[in-house]
Amino acid sequence: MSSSNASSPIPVPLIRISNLTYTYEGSDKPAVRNINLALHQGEFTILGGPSGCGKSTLARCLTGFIPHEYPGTFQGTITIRDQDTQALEIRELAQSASLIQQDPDSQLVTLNVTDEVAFGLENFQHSPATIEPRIQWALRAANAENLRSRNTHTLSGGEKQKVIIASFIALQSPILILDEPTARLDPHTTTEVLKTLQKLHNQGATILVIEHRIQPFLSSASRVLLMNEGTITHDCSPTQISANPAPLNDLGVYLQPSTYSETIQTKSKLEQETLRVQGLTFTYPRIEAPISPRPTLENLSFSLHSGEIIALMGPNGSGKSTLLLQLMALLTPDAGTVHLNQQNIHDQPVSQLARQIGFIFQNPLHQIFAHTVKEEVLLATKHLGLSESSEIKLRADQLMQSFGLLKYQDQSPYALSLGEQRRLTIASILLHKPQVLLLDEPFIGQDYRNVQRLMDVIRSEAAQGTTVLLATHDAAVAETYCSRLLFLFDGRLLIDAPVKQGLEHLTILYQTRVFNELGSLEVEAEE
Amino acid sequence: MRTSSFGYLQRKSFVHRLNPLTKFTVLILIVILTVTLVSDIIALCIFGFLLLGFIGAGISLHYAFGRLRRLLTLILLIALVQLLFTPYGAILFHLIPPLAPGFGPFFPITTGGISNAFNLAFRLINIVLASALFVASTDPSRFAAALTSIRIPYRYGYTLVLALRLVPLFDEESNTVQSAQRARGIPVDQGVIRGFLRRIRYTFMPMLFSALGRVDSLTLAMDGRGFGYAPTRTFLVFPKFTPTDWFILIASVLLTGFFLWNFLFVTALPHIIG
Repeated sequence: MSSSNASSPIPVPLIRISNLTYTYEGSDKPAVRNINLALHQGEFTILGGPSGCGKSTLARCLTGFIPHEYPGTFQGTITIRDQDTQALEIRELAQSASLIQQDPDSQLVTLNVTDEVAFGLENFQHSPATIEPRIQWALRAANAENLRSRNTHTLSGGEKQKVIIASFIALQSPILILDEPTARLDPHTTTEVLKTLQKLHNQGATILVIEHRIQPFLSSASRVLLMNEGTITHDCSPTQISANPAPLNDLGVYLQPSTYSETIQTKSKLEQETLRVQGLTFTYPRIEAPISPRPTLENLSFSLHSGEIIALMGPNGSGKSTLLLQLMALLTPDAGTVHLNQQNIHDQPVSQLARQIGFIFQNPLHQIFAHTVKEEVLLATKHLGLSESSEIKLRADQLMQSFGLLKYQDQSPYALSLGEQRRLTIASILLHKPQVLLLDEPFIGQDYRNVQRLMDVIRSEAAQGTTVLLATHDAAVAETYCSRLLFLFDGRLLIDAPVKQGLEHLTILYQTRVFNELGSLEVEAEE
Repeated sequence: MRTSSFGYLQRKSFVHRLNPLTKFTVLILIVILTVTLVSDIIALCIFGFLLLGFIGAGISLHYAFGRLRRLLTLILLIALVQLLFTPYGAILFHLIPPLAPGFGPFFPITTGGISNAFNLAFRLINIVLASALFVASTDPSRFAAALTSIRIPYRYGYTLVLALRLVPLFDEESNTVQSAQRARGIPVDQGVIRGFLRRIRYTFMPMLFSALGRVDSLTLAMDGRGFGYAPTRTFLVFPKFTPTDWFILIASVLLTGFFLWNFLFVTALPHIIG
């Protein structure tokens, strides 16, 4: 929608927020402060801002989860269609505003798509006769008609997101709020979800999208709100923010272009080979399918060199995480080899390999094991045979300092925010200076300021010879920080090129809709 | 993508089409028979019936025995205890022969021990297979709907749906946490007992916090779609009882009744009375 829509007068606000201040129980600082806002029927609004600025809290306030399910101090009023959210129960509010969260997997209740879309309608006691057409309508509106007969666990990340969107819009609540709906999605799927939102907006839905990275949504939106430290700092049109992106820079939600990749690109060619992958093929065993499924990785061959930062990209489900697990010897290949410094990685136990290769998993909670932040950073001294020398302790302090964790050193790591936990996992891996760093989408849910902070440290490690393989969906991150691009599609290595060339190649592939065609071929093959 | 080995398998089979309550009743009856009756013949019959069930459901026996793999250690351990400590029956040999005059022999292996070990293992296998067949052939949403027809509130039915929905997720997550432990050099594989304790210690907290996050998210997603809006809800598909369901129900109740009656009044009671 064009920005001119924002300026056209829309008289009656659908949502009105007056003097909203909310403080979570146990916190002394309000998560949102003194917010006054009106959202109108038919608006497509993007709400941007750095991690922890209060965006998700505001979304929970709008849908009544705050104060109904999260204890804390709630001041001010929110009305939806002139009804006070505090006076209504969440289940009643669900008919007015829907909140779709980041991770579709955690929101799916049932095991097949039809049941999932019917779930809300059944709760509101619609008869099967009215549910059926509503399912059809919602799936069509969400561009998910082709998924109707599928089991939810067989869907890709983007497909799951579409099904979740369909299940909420089936309720036909007037407001749809999406909290980072594309954070885990590849660019192609992000475009698909965006098309879905555009379609819904064209049909009259009021949409509020919460995102760290607002650029992809600017062309569709009619209004941009920016938040910082619990307050709304900017309320403008997409055209205004495109013309003057300074506020985005200030809030750390915009990535500055960099010339870094070009310099590293030249340098890395001269460096020595650290990791060599030859003919790597792997298929996950599937206990319920006696016939051989397609390989997750198929005949991959490439080498990584010291000092390189390589972006590993590819659509959801293309095999990126599996490849990283293979490089850490956490999975055994069906065919092919992986050599680290000319030695087969399977010739040594993983616990020994862990001294040379550091692995960062997608969810920081999966790899935090100690009781305090300091213990976590020093975990390698306990399990990797490093002595707790003064030099190591000094490095631990330096890492905590540079990641902003020193003040939390005696606290439980589980009390940290997601961004802090992510920094902690990287700090704890860097302590023993592994030769290779494998990072599996470490920037989900992180704003660009956090990304820059982490990448600055990783870049300095690379400058000292560490090889970094970074799985990401973010082309901006790849272009800014990486020297080379490996692009996987359906388990095969489609592109291995310097990052700029690789991304240009990728753009052409997307523009020519090669992936659409390949994707539909895959679906046909599976069916 | 790694796939979990738990849960419902969608097929268009005769077993899948049966009313979930029919299958649940048969499952309960199998458990009652298995727990109550110590009979190799009945255990073998139930085993055969279950194998037919898997074939009828279009689920491979490869899958069926895959369910057993995880519990095999436990089943073998229980069978071993029976083998070593059942005192009755003819002694075939001793596991530890006399080592010195007056010292030994130990652990007599008796015909009773072998029979008990075999029978108990078989019965456990039957219970696992019966549960696996029920889970693999029953869509939890249909089961939740069917439970409301016997006046069980849908909230309880959905507890089961959620359990079956979340178990594969937690299974996957537990695999990831274990991979993360190995990647951090935590030697969870070293030492049977120490390794086990280490694995528990280093798995519990990551899994707990991760699960709390998922549950929080799921709660918002369910409440946000009106779960609990009213004491009752509708169901798009409500499983009905067909003549086949009635036939299976009546036949299985009669068969169970016959076996139990036979056990109580023909075998056990006269033996007890003397």
